Amino acid sequence: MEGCAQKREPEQHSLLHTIARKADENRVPLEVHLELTYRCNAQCIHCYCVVPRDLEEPAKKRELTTDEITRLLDDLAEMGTLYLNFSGGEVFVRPDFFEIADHAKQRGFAFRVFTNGIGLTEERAHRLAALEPLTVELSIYSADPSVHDSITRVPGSFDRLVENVSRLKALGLRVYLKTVVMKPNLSGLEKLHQLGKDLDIFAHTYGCEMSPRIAGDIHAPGQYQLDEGELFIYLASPVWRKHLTPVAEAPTEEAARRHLVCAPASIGCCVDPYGNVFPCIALRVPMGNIREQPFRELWNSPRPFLQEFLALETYADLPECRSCELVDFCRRCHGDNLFERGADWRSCHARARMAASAEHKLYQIRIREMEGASHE
Amino acid sequence: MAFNEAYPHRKPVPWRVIDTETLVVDVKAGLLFPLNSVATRIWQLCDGEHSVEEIVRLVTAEFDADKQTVEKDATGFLRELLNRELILLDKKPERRQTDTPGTQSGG
Repeated sequence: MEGCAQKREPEQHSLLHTIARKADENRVPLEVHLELTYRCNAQCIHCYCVVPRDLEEPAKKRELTTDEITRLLDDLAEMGTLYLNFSGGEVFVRPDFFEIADHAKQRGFAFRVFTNGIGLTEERAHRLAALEPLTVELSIYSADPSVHDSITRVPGSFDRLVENVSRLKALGLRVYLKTVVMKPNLSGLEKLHQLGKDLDIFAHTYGCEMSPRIAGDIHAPGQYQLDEGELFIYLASPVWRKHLTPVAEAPTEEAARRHLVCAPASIGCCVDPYGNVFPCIALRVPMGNIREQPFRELWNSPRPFLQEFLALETYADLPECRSCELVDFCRRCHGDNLFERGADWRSCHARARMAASAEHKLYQIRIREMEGASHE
Repeated sequence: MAFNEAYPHRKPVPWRVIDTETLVVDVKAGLLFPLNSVATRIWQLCDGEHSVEEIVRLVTAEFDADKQTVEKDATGFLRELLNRELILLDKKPERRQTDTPGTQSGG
């Protein structure tokens, strides 16, 4: 899930670990993902949240106002939030985006801007640069304009995106490209990777999970999900294969105890365009609504419904994962699984298992290659 | 101007105090700096109102530490902040509007 701020990583840096622990203990929402709107000037086929064109007007009327958002930012600043993600939909369809972003800068946040790059003009790019966002992160699906445009369903979106990447870079902004790998763009990934290099962008990340749609046909994005064979093709391509570093030993059952699960609403959350606060982007169980309760009060209220998620520490706490041979490769998402399986969310997350299985196969091949090389 | 007589003040970068530690974001470099409790106090004192010498004296007293050690560490830390363009050095303790409002959380 894009923008996931809830990963519970193993301790890598003691001081950062201490600070994260203290933020959790003191209920500091360090990172907040703000979905400013679900309206968008694209209609990407796989999107988890986009509002269909014919429903844009009612959706717009329900959105938080500028004042409501700036008040929320004030609360977050006072509570210690450091990072904000401005996400959508498409943030630039809100005419007040710069007012909101400017307020965020005044309140001392470090913020990221997620955009499809379609609506960025020269003037907007300059205004954005003046606000010094931490990153500007743009979605790209192919180096072939016709494939990209068929995914966004906006003719010319590829050309505008590439033009704006160059424009943002020229202004000194830190530009990320983000790609969701799916059936329609699988065959063009190496060319896309090369395009990222040619554009000299700061980073290019790839994800391959189709999250369910939060309204309407929840399974619609699933038709574009790579199957296990396709995931293997993706992972095994020369560009990505090198990133899968074989570990010294094969995974064992002990791996489940080492492998931490995520911790929703521990040091971050997601706020949707209508004021609902969720433990994370994927876990769509509302903690409350900022129109009915101040954020501080809502954030500090008891969270009985979250206890069953927070009680889990490692994959060993999940019965099916405990003895799974794929556990070291698995990146299951409680939120997606809850959405798709309801009360049975503790069970194996089928999509995560499929991805883990493809990675595991590739891992075994790499191990055999390494053993073969050592015997030569 | 001798380094000890300079008045450091923070540039407008995002930062938050979490209990006794601090996170500072160097937006230009795209880096996050976690500060321990002593570095946090030094960072807080980089308000343009305290000279390097005063910062060393205050930190030595507040943490009941050896002055020479604090002087060496604090000076090194301040020089690093200066090199990373996270602070500026001034001659006079004037009121400035260069800082962003970092917040104290959970403390």
